[in-house]
Amino acid sequence: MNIPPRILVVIPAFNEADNLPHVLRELATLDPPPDAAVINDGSSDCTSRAAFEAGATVVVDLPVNAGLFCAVQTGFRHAYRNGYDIVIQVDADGQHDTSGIPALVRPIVEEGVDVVIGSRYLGQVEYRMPILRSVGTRVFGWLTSLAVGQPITDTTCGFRAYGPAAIRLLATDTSYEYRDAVGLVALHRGGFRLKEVPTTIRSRRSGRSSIGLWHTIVYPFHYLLALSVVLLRDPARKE
Amino acid sequence: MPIATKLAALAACAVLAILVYELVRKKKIREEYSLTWLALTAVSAVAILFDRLTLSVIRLLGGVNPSSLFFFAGILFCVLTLLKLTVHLSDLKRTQNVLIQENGLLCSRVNQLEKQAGGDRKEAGAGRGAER
Repeated sequence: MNIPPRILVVIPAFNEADNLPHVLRELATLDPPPDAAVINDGSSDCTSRAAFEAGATVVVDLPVNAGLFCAVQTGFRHAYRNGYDIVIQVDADGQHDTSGIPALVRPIVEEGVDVVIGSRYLGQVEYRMPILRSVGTRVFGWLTSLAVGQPITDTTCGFRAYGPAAIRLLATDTSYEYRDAVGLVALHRGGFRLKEVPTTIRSRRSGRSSIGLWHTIVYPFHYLLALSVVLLRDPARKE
Repeated sequence: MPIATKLAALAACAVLAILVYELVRKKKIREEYSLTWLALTAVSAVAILFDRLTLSVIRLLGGVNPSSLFFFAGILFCVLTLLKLTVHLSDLKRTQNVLIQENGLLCSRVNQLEKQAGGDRKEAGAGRGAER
């Protein structure tokens, strides 16, 4: 008899008290409902209490706002120390359709894939993306595909699943190499298998995205620099 | 170089060296970071004391005005110091993030254990009540 994998959904949250309960309620409808770790990234609203009240398995309050990857990595550390087999990263703003989690998990369980990426371009986008961001994500997708030698259409989507080897690496490596789209290239170079599956991205339920104009302007330069560095660096190998 | 200028420049070097040393003594600067500044004052003092040698170095490098070497060396020192600080800052950022993560995880674990201990105490209290 196969033992079902232990799944942890990691939800990094910054001032998402309004959206978080909806996301957690949606997760509770899955069969079986996965454990959910909310990483409160130094929010100034009552994100932490909202997460507790909505039934999060664990709520980790970071003492300051340390950024998205720091929050996500905290989730990976928790998963690694508590023996989870699969980590699913889900945004706290309700944009990710969590009914797509089984489709993210399947390639890890059945095909031994290490990282499964939800792609809005293979699936559906239920909101109007700003044109600059839409063009940018497609260009990054094209460049990443070129670097990894397999088609990757959506490198910036945060709806992803990670298998045990990827969890170990992301929990223990503090180099921050894996924090952005370029992280996929680093993982691929380290021998990790990547796969994309279609997903649906909805509009935010409420509030505003923390991605501002400055981030949108600087991001392409950051991406290109990080990509060149990752391609020239010795990758951390899959154990 | 006129003797008065030489003395003033040497005095400036001495003041900087004493200031750095005092900051180290008061634990405001760590020893390893003070060494660069003390080396700067030492090199400057040597360049002032042996000004003819400095002048020949400037001529060798194609400089006309002796002060241009000092400006060049000063800017180079500032750039290298900033670079060193950037490396140090990046390292600190990484350490800070690990500490933030560990702090969050530990607090969450403590909360969980406290809740568990509270629950156990309640259960034990209820048990004792039932025994009575």
